[in-house]
Amino acid sequence: MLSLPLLWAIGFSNLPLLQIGLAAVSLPIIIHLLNRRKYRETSWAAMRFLLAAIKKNQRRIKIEQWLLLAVRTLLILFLVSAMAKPFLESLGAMQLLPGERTHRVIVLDGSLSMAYTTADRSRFDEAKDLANRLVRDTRAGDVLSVVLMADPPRVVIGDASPSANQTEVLKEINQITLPHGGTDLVASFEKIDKALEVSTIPRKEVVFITDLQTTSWRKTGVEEALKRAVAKLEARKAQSTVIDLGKAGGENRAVTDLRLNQPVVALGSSDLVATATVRNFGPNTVSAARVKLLIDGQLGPELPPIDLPVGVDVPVVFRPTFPASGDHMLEVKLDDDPLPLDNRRWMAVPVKEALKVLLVDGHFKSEAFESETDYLAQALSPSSTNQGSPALIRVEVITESSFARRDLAPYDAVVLCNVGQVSESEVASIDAYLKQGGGLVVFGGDQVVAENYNRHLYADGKGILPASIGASIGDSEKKQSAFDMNPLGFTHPIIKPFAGADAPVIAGLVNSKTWRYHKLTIPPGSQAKVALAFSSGDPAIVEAPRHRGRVVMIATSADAGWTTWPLHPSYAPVMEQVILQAAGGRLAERNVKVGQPLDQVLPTNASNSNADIARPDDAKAQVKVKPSGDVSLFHFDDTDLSGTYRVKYSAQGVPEAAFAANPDPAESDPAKLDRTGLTQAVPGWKFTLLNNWQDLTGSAVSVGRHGELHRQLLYGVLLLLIVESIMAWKFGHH
Amino acid sequence: MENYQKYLNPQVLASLQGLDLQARLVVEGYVAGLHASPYHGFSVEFAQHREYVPGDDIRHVDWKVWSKTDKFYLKQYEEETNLLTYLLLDTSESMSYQSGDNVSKLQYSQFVAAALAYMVLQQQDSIGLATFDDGVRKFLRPSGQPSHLKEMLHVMDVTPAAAKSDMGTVFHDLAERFKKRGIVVVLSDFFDDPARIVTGLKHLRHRRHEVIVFHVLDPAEIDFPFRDTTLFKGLEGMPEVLTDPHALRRAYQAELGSFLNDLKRRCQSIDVDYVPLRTDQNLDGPLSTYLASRAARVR
Repeated sequence: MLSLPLLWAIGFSNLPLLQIGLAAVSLPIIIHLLNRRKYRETSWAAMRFLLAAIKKNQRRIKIEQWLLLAVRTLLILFLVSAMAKPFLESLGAMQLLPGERTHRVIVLDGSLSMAYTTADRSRFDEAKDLANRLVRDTRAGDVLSVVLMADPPRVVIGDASPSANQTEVLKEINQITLPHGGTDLVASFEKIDKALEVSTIPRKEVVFITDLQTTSWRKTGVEEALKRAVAKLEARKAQSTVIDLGKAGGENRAVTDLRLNQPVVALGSSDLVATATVRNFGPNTVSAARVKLLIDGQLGPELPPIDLPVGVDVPVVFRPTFPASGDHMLEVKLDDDPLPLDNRRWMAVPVKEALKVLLVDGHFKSEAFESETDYLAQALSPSSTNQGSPALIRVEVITESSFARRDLAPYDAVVLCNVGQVSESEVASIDAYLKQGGGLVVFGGDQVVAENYNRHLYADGKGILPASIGASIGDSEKKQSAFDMNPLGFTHPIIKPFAGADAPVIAGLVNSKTWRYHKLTIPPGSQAKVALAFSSGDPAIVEAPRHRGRVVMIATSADAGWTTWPLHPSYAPVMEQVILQAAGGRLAERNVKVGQPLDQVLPTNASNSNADIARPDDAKAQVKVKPSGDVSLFHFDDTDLSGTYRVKYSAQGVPEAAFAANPDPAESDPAKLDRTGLTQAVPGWKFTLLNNWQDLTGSAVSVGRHGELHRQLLYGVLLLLIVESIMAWKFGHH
Repeated sequence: MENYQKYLNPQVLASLQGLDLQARLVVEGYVAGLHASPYHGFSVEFAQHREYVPGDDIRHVDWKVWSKTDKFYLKQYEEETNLLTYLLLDTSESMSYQSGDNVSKLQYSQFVAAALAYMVLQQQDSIGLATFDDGVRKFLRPSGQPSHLKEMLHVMDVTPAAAKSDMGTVFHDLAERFKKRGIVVVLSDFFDDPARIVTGLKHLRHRRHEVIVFHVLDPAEIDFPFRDTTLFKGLEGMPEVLTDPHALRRAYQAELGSFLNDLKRRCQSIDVDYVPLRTDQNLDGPLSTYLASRAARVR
C-alpha cells in the first residue's frame, strides 16, 4: 500500500486528460451494468439442468465476474494514468514536490570564465547543452524563462511572459553568445525576480548553471543590496538549484593589465613605456611563455620568452613608437591556454600632435613674468622660446573675464590660476567639460575667495574640487617661515618620475620654499590622492577623478608670489606631469572594461550624423551622434565582447576613432566557491547544489523525468491485458 | 429422377406442407438410398399377390405368374401382418423448443412418427398411435388399413400442450391398454425423472413389448452455444433465470450428460433400445433403427 507522503508526491503532467480518463475508468462498470440490463430472451426446455448448474456454480461465477470487472477497471485506470504522465517529482536532492505547473527560470552564467575550454567544449557550451536538456525535459504545461547572468544581466526569454514553446526557447538558448564581461550578481538576482514576477504560476524553480567562480559570486560592497534581492527571491518561494560546472585548480594565464607610463601620448614622446602585466593563475609554473606585441595589428618588436611562476604578476616592458598622430591600437597577446579570452589585451592610444592647454589667468599683467600664468606657460611650453624640439603642449592664456565665454571642449586641460571667483554658469560649464573627460587644474593664490570656491566648486564634497579650501597658512609678505615639499615616497604618478633620481634633482623638488598656501582638507572616504605635501603635512597637490575627467588642486600659487617652486628646475617636469595626468581622462575614455559603454565627445557639427562601428566579431553597428549642450556625444552600449571597436563618423572632419574593450582581469582567476563559500557569499539564500556534473548527466536529464511512472503503468497495462485474457478464457471454459 | 434423399433433412422437409407428403418423401428418400428393399415380407402361409414395386426383394417375385402374364408379382404371406407397432408421441410443452433454423423437437418427432407410420402401413403392418403429456391425450388403435394413415397423421398433427410430461403414469396407463404385444416406439425429450420413466418402460417390457426410445433433443440443448447474458424462460412451469450462459456451459453440459448417461444406462439395463436424436440430424437414422429392431423381432 502506498504511504501517504508518496501519494502526495504523485503528480500528473496532464491533469485534464486524467480527469477525462478517470471517467473512462467507470466504462467497464457501466458496460457490466448495461450488460445486465440488456439481454437476450429465449424459452428453454432443459431448465432443470440449467437450474442445477446455476445452483452449483452461482458463487464461483459471481466471484469470477467481479474479478474480471476489477481487472478491466484497473486496466483502464492504469492506461489512463499512464497517458496522463504521472511522475514522482524530484530535482536532484530536492524534496518531493506536488506536480503542479512549474515556472522554471534557467539562469546561465555569462561571465568570461565560462569560456574555459576543455576538449574543444567550453563551459558555456556545456551550460547550453544542459539548458537544452532541461528545456526538453520540461513537462507539458510548464513555462520557461531564460536569464543570462552577466554585466549587465539580460532576460533572454520571459521578459514580458515566460514561454511554453520549447522549440522557441531552445532556439533562443542556442543563439546566446557568451559576453566577455563579468557578472552583476545583484542585478542578475533582480532580473530573475522580474522574470518570476511576470508569471502567475505559483510553483517556481530557478536553475543556475554556473562555474561558481569566486569573482562572479562573491561581491564586496553590495552585501545589503544582495541580501534584499535574495530575500525577494526567497519571498517568491522559488526553489533554487545550482548546477556547478566549474573545476578548481584549472590552468590559466592572462594578461591582466596593459598601461602606458604617460596618460596622454603626444607625437614624438621619447620616453613612452608600455607595461603589460602577465599572471599565471594555474597551479604549475609556466616556463618560456611567449608574449607578442602588436601595434595596429602589425607584429611589434619580438620579446624574449618569460617564465611565469604561480600567482606572481610578471611585468613585460616595451617601448612602442607611433609614426603618426591619430588613434593607434596596442595589443599584447599570450600563448593559448584553456581560457583564451583573457590572453589578449588591447589599448587604444590616441596620439596627439600636441596637448592644448587653456590657462586662465586671474591676475593678468602685460609685463613678462608678472602675470600669474607666465611661469607655468613657460614651464609647460618651453618651445615657445626654443624652436628646436616640437611642442608637446600648446598653451593658450586668457583672462579670467573671458573664461566664461570660452568653449572648453577643444582643450585637453584647463588651468585656473589665482581666479578669484567662479560663477554658477562657469561651474556648470566646467562640470560638463569634466564629463567629456577633460582635465582641470586649480592653483591657489591671494585672489582666491575660499568661501566662493567652497560653495560652488567644493559643495560639501559633492562638487568639482576634491578638497575644501581653508585658511591660508604662512605669510608671503614677511617670508619668515617657509615650508619644504614632502614627496610622500614618490608614489603618485605626478611625482613618480623623480623616484630614484639623483639627490640634486630631488633636492630641486624638496627644497623649494613655500611661504604661503591654502589649507586643503580632503573629506573622509574621498577618492582624492595627495601627490605632494608640504613639510607641515598639509597637502600641496591633490588629485582626484571627476566624471570622466580629472581634477588636480594645487594649494599654492602658480607664480612665484607664494612660493619659490617656479624658480626651481623641478617645477617644469612636475607641471608637465600635472597637465598630463589631468588630461589623462581623454585617453581613459578610449579604453573601457567589457560591458561599459563607449563614449566620445565630438564637435557640435557632428550632431545627428551617423557613426559606424565595427565590433571585434566584425559585426557592424550604427548609432547616431546626439547633440548635448555645446558638444555632441557618441555613445555605444553594445560592448559585450573584448577587442577593438573602430568607429567611423560620417560628419565632416571628425577622424576615425579606435576603442578597446578589455576583460575584467578578475575573471581570469579560476578560484571557485564550494557549498560553504556560496552560502557565505549569498547569505540567506536556500539552494540545492548539484556538484559533480559529469556524474550528473543522468540525474540532470532526470530533472524533469525523475520518478516518472507511466512506463511502469504501461507494463502494468500489459500484464493486466494478459491476465484478463487468461482469466476470460479460463472462466469461459468451466 | 427426383432426388428424394434431400427430404431426409428435417429443415428441407419442414418447408413442405402436409405430413402425408412429408412422410412419403422421407420414406422414398430413405428407400432410394438402400441397396435392399425393406419390404421383404415373408411367411409360410401365402396370403395374396402384390404388384412389384422397385426396391422389392426379387426373391419374393412369383416367377410363375411372370411366365404366364409377363408381369412381376410378389407373393405375400399371412404372418406378415401380425406385426404391431405403437407410436408414443410426447406433445408436452418442452417439445416445442427449437433453436435457430432447426425444427422443433415436436416437429422432428412428427416427421419420424409419420415416416414410420407410412412405412409400416406400406408393408401392410399395423400401427397405433398415442400422444401424451401428463396423461394420454389421444389414442388410435393399431390398424393395417392404408386409410389409417390419414387418421394417424391428423391425430399427430397437433400443437404442443402447455402441460408437463409425466411419463411414468403415461407408460403405466398405456402398458395396460396395449393388449397385443408389438414394437413400442417412444418419441420424447424425456425431461422427467429417469427413475419414473424407466419404471414405466419396465412395465411395457414386462408386457413383452419391444421398446425403442427415440430421445429427441435440440442441438442447442446439447451444445449450449449461448454467449451473451440471457433470460431463460422455463417451459412447463419452470421459473425464469437471467444468467451468463458462457460461464455455465460446462456445468450445464455436465448436468445434462449425467442425465443422459443415467437414462441410457437404465434403458440398457431393461433391454430398451435407446437412440439419441438431434433435430438437425437426417431422418434416415431413426428409420434404420426401427427396421433393424423390426427385423430382429420378426426373426
